[in-house]
Amino acid sequence: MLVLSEVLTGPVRHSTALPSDVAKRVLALRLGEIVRTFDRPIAHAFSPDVFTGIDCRLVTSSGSRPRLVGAVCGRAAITGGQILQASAMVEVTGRTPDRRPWAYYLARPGQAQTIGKGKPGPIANGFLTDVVGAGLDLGGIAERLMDEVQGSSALDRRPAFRAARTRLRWILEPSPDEDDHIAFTVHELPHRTLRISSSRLTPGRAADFAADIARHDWLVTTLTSMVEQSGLESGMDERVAMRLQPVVDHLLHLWMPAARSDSHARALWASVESASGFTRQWETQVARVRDQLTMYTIALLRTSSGRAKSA
Amino acid sequence: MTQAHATHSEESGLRRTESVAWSHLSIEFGHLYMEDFKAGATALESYFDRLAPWARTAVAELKRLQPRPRVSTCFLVDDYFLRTSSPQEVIPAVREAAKKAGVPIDYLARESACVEAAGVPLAALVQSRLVPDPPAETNGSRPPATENGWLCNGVRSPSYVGGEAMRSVEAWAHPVENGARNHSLFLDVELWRDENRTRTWSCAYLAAVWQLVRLGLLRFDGKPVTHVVETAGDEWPDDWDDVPAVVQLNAGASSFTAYRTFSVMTNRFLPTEHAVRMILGQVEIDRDVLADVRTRAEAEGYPLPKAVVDRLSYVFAEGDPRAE
Repeated sequence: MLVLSEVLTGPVRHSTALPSDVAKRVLALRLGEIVRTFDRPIAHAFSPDVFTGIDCRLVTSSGSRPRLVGAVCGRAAITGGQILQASAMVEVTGRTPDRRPWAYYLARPGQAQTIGKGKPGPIANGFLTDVVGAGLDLGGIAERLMDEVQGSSALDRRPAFRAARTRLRWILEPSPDEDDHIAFTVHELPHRTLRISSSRLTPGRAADFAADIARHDWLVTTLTSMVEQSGLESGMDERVAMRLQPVVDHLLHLWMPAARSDSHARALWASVESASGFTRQWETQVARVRDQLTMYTIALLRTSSGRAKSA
Repeated sequence: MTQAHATHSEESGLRRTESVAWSHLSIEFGHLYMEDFKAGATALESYFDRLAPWARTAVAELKRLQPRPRVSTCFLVDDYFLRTSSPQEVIPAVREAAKKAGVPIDYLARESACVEAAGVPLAALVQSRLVPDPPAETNGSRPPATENGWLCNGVRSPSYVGGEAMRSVEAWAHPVENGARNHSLFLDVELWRDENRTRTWSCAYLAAVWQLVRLGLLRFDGKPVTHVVETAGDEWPDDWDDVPAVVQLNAGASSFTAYRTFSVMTNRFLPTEHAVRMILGQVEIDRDVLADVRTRAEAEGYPLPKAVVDRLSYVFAEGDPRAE
């Protein structure tokens, strides 16, 4: 078993957090398919699956170029009414001696098969290291999905703050031993990769986990960048406070790692946490923003009470 | 020390697809065009006489696998493209002719109902599930090369743009069938046409929807889309719009929807059904529904092929009512 996927994460192009019914409308990408929603512990809605056919040669780490054919599964999700994620995922399940009629592949939606030999290891390596994902552009599919959602007439296209999209390319492969192994790598923005070696995780669970990592990586990345751009380094003033306002209004309450996860996924998150220190970084930044804003507020109060006294 | 175990679930987060009752086989005698009914009762009887033996053969074949086969018969009336005959004229005549040929019709359906039935836009529903067959070197970077209202099984010939000068530069290139065996058999099918802000679906497209309706594989918000209405007697309205989408003519009939379909038709429908099969090969059916129907059939000792299009069989025979 081998799962290849890419997840894009970015802010919803809307001035406020989307209420659940609007998120539902925005994500209704297919007629006659319901948008599933969760209210707890954080609002989460996701689109029905949309499929895209692919038939291409892969770039692998061994130099072989196996041909892969199948229907890639796309999905869009909105968390907290503000974070939009679009993903494209395909499970490489086997091989056929020749190209089958398309009906064969559509009877296995979300799966793809190689024509002739295709070793999972080199495909996985190629996918994680190649510029366009081993010649398979799952990012391109996810991007069109994201654009489709962002183009919805229910969105006012006036984002509350500017933030870059991040791209997480990830794979799920069987573990060489009894343990799960996770390697999360932060490359130059917007690229990140995640390698999950687990024999217990289903593709669906792995996708939830990868989306969770992508979401929190995006939050840390966005918060860090907003703090940097606010000019906080050179001291607090009214303009800096204004620039940090969206952080407080739109980002801080979205931090909720491993929400809706089972104990296995929580354990996976904990292992990534101990290696990458997501929460430490987040909390440090949040504390800094809060402390600075508090100090600034106190200073303002002092000034205004000073003025009141002198008046 | 005891442990406490808690679970949390939210109904809005669940996805349910309702099941339906499936016969083993749905046999269709069809289709006829409206003008065919003008050929008279004798022509209609001879039409059913020609098709009936094939239906009996299909049932005999099924009996080898299923000692107690559930088979239902159906007939589709084309009320979409032409309405020259009323339900009052057509339905009793078809019923009578089929009965005389020894193959009574259990269910009668209207072709318009493949566009919309009981408020469900079936044609648009199937359209939203089309996943075009990708030609080689489709890696996701670009959106599928679709032509509005058309669907094909490969790569089209490049179209000529400009005058003579351009023509010498761009020589003709042949179309290519995806996954062709040696030589291509390229097919490009018109699914619909928009004129004066009205969409007219093609006969082939609606016939593909019809197959999916018979196979019971469509759901809207997780619910089945076909609601069979039972009618007693032989009184029919004047307007086809007042006839339910699928009418049950025979009270004791097996379920309308079936694991497999068998269509006995005259030769003129061979191109249409070729197109139907190509379209169905590019329709993605809900995974839960696919799993449900296969599990149910398997439990009856009647395993189904994975690809939906492989559950369709045909006999094309001579016998068009207006053939000379």
